[in-house]
Amino acid sequence: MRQVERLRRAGKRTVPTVIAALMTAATPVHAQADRPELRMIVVDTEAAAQAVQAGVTAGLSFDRLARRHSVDPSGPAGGYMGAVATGDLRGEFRAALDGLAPGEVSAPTPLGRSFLFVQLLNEPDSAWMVHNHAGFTAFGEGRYADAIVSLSAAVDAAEQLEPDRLAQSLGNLADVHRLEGNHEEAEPLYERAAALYEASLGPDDLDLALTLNNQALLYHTQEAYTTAQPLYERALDIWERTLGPEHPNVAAGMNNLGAVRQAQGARDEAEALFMRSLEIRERGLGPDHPDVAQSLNSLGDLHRAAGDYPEAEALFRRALGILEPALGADHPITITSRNALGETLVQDALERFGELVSLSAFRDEEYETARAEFARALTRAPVAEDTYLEMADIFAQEDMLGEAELMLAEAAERFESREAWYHLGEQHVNTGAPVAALEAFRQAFATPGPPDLDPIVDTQMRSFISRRIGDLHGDAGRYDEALAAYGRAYDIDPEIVESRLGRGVVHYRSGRPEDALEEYAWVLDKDPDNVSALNRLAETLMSMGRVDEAAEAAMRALEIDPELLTPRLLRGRALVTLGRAEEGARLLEEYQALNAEQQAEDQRTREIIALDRDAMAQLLDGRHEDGMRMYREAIELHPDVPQFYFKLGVAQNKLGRHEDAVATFLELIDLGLGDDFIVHKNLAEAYRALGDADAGARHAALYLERRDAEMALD
Amino acid sequence: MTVRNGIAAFALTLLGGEAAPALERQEDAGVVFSEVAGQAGISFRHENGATPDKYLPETMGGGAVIFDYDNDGWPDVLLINGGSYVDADVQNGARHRLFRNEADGAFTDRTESAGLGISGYGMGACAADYDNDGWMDVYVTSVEADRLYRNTGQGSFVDVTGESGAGAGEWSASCAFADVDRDGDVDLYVTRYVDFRSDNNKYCGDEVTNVRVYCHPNVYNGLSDVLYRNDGDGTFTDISREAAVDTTEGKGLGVVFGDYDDDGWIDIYVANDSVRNFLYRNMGGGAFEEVGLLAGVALGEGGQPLAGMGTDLADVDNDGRLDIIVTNLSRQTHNLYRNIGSGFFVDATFPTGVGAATLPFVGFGAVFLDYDNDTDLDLAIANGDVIDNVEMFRDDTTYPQRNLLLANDGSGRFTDVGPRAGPGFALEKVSRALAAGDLDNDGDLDLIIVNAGQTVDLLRNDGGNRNNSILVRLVGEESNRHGVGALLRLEVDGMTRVRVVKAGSSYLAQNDLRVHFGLGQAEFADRLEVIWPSGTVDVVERVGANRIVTVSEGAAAASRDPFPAR
Repeated sequence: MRQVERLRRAGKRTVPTVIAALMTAATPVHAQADRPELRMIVVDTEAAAQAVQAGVTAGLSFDRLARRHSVDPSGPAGGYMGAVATGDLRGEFRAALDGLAPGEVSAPTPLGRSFLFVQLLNEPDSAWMVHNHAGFTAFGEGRYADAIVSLSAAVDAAEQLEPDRLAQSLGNLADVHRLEGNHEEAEPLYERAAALYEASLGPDDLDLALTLNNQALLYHTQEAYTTAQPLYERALDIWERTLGPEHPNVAAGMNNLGAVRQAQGARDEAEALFMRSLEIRERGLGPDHPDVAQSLNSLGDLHRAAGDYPEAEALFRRALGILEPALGADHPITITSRNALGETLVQDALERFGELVSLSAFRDEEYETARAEFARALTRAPVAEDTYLEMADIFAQEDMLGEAELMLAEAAERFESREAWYHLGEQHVNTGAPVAALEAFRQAFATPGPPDLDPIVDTQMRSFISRRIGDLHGDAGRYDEALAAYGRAYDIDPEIVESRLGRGVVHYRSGRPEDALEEYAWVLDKDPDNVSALNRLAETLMSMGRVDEAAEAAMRALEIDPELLTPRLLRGRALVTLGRAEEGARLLEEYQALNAEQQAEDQRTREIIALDRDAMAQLLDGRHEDGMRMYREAIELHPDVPQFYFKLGVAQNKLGRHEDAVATFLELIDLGLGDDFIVHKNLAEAYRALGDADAGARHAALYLERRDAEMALD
Repeated sequence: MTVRNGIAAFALTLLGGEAAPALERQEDAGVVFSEVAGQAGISFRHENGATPDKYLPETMGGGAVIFDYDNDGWPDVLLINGGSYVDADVQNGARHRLFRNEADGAFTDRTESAGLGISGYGMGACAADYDNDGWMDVYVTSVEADRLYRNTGQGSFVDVTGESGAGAGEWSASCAFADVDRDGDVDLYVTRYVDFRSDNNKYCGDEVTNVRVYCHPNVYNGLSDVLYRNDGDGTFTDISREAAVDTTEGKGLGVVFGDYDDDGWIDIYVANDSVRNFLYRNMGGGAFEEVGLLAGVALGEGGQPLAGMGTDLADVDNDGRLDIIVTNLSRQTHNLYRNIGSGFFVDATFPTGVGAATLPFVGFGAVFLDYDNDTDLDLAIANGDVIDNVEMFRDDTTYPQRNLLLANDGSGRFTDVGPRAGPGFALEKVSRALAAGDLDNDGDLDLIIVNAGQTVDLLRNDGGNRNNSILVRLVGEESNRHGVGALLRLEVDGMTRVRVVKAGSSYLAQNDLRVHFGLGQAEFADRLEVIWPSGTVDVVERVGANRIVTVSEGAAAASRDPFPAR
């Protein structure tokens, strides 16, 4: 089923290079009494005729002998001629067929200077042809389950044919199962095929080599590298011995073996195999052959996996330079190669992103260099919109607000992305740039959503963005503009009450409390438990001196959410004003106590910021011991603050105290305070610096895993 | 005749009164303010000593007091300077300045002869006749040590800080005088801010990018305010603890006295920065109870503490009750608390239009004043951000900002009229102290604005006196000499207008002690009632417009002098 393999591989490269198909599937034609189905072999020499005759005697299939020896165009199709009217045949044919029983092979018959062999297909062979063809057809049309049914029937038919034909059928069925991910079904089929080949054709047969190679592929795709490796090695050995060291199959086998050795971590060995494969192909096929590009791609993969992105990029670019003119820009292999280059550039950008983030605690010269390199890498890489947004989110989390803003701005422009514009607006709000935020929200509002966006979600998003525009106008005291934006939000999605609530607030702030009350009443009619509306209602009534009504509204808010602060204050004050001093005072005391808790938390946050700032100042001023001591003291004071551990660890790493850094980072992880990719990146560097390659590799892998997971990358 | 607190009140009735002078009127009382400080000879640049080290006081000063130190009937101006933490020459050169009003539109610098040419990182000041000798004395606040100066009556002042016992240490901000125990002399309240010192200056901002900013006050601890009781013998006693005003929860910047609950005892309102504001209700006898939260004047309407800077107290809705304004940061609004009686307030910031008008501004000085003499109280506010490099962090504001003039429509609703109030209100500076007074005695109120690190502005009111007005000068007998704390009610055209004599309000500032009433087109006021701190009530009937009326406590007559410059 090498053809199956080729069809399947047309779109996506999931496993290393596979040997090209050796067989084509002939189209069967039903036999009639005077039109029997025939196979034929034509050879030019007597020696070849003797070889065919010997194969027949040895019990090999006519199909196989035709493929191997026939000089007729039907050879690759197993010599299959279809149903032929015997009366139309030349005399030599008729003579050869004379008295021949189905399944029987004629004696060599002279045909001019050539020799002719013919065979009438018997019933199992005919059935095999039908099922085999149906299997290929189904696979080609993507009906894999049908393909398996037909190819299974072909195997059944082949059980009555020659062992090599059965082996071939088993291999085809195994290939389909493998490609369909039915690994358990594929494995015994490969094993039986290999055993049949070996028994019937000996240990050096090329079909055996191909079967071993594909069985290895089965294990390779399952990441069972140690099982795959000896099979690849055996196949390669057969090819080298049988076909010679310069044969393209040898190059392909080396590529495959190199890939599995790469996966096993034997990078140097893999590189040597890829290089040899490349050299063979360059010598044998010329420097511009697509197979050369395949080797270049393998080498590129190797360098990319090792993080050597510039070298990987160069190899992928060279491969593309071969593939684009040879196969065209839209050829699947060219696309695969181009994708690999793009992925390399993305990986390069992500690596520099990780580096930049990990250095952000110390915005020193090294950080500035990393920043410039990241910017450069980003301009070259085909980074997806989602990745931009994720990177921006991580930048924001790491307090790298300027970088977050830049990412969002670039994503917004590059992808004409509503989401990016919206997030950019929120980022501007958070960084105190409401003017820029307003412009970003406007852009978001004017930008269509993705084509596949659910229309309901689209409506909600547009309404929400318009509300945010209203919020910004309202905050700036531009009340007419705010009312217009809230009105638009309401028109877009009348089901969301917040637009009317926003209008109410604007009316109140514009000195139109009666209008505000109308809006709040509308909201509460739709959503009686809307605590924001109740709170605003109480606030407005209080300002109007309608104290008893304010008390009632605040009470309703508190009944819905007893933890609320503002309604407690409003009701307390209202009750006191109404003369219910004791009740009101109690609420005010509660308010003060809750407020005090909040303020204490705020104070703690400020203290943490100050401790961090002071310690960092020491480090940046070169007073490293003082800085690290201050971080240790900060940890004693606030052992639950991750940034203290992280920055101490980073400082220790930078100052060459890698053992201390490892201890600090591990403590951070053990305490459950931080386990993100930046921590593992720093841990990997610390371990590498300590010479612990295994731990370094482990944390480097965790770094990549966490980073890609955080960025929702596959 | 009324009786308050058992003290007899005397009515001064001048039947028939005086005929008001005939004046030309303009129907449209469009008022503009012109900046004339240089022209008037008030040459003063506030020195804040700004450095990259961002010492917090650099962004907080300075102060201004309008008072008649030489009793010539023309209000003079005292300006409080800052200093420098790093440059001794700058520090020594940053002198406070006293400008004498020469009664002809010009001022002369009398600092040195008055003995007030002193330095020391100053903040604000307040003035009152603490020893009741008829001459106004001065208390100057500073970042390190306050000073009390006694007016000798000879055009000079002497430092009596040590012997008087009044001189708060650490960082003081605003101060105000009033007679809290009604013993006939003025006591002194001093707000104190935070425990900043030059040797504990903290780094705020981003050390990594080396962008430093002035710290938020929450990085420092608050200081307790100080209440000094005037012992009547030239000395003061710190009674903060027994008066229960010694909490360190506050970070006081502004203070104003006023009897908000009409019980005859003057109360204290303190604007605190970033923590709740205080309303100290005077329980009588010098004891206070902090009732800000209960009364509804401690927080913003959402329950959040605000960045209280300056404050004033007056009846803006003409219901006879004293309302309160507090200036805050931008996007917080400057809050107007409307007194609804019985000791309670409602937050009327937005319903009155103050919220919308003040939302974008960082406010400091605040003065209720009738700038157009239409009888109701308008509102002037001095603005300017606190972060000198704010434009690096926000794209919707600037360090210098325009000041605000909010016109009252008579019902307590305000509209920003600054943009049409002339070039004076078009200025964009870093304004701090704001004080009002009729500096040219022409019947309308002028403004002094001190700008941090910049030249002072004198905004001359041109056109306010197209309407009529009166100025009332009090001379206390049983009460303190200038009637500080007295409540004045004026009846004009069937309306009643209320004013309070305040010696210290706004931000680091004090207004002219003379009480100004706009009369609109009225030729006279029907009745003026003065309720003295002693409880004495004096009544003056039929007060002609455009006069300076001097009312002496319990006296049988009141003098009425035409505005000299009108």
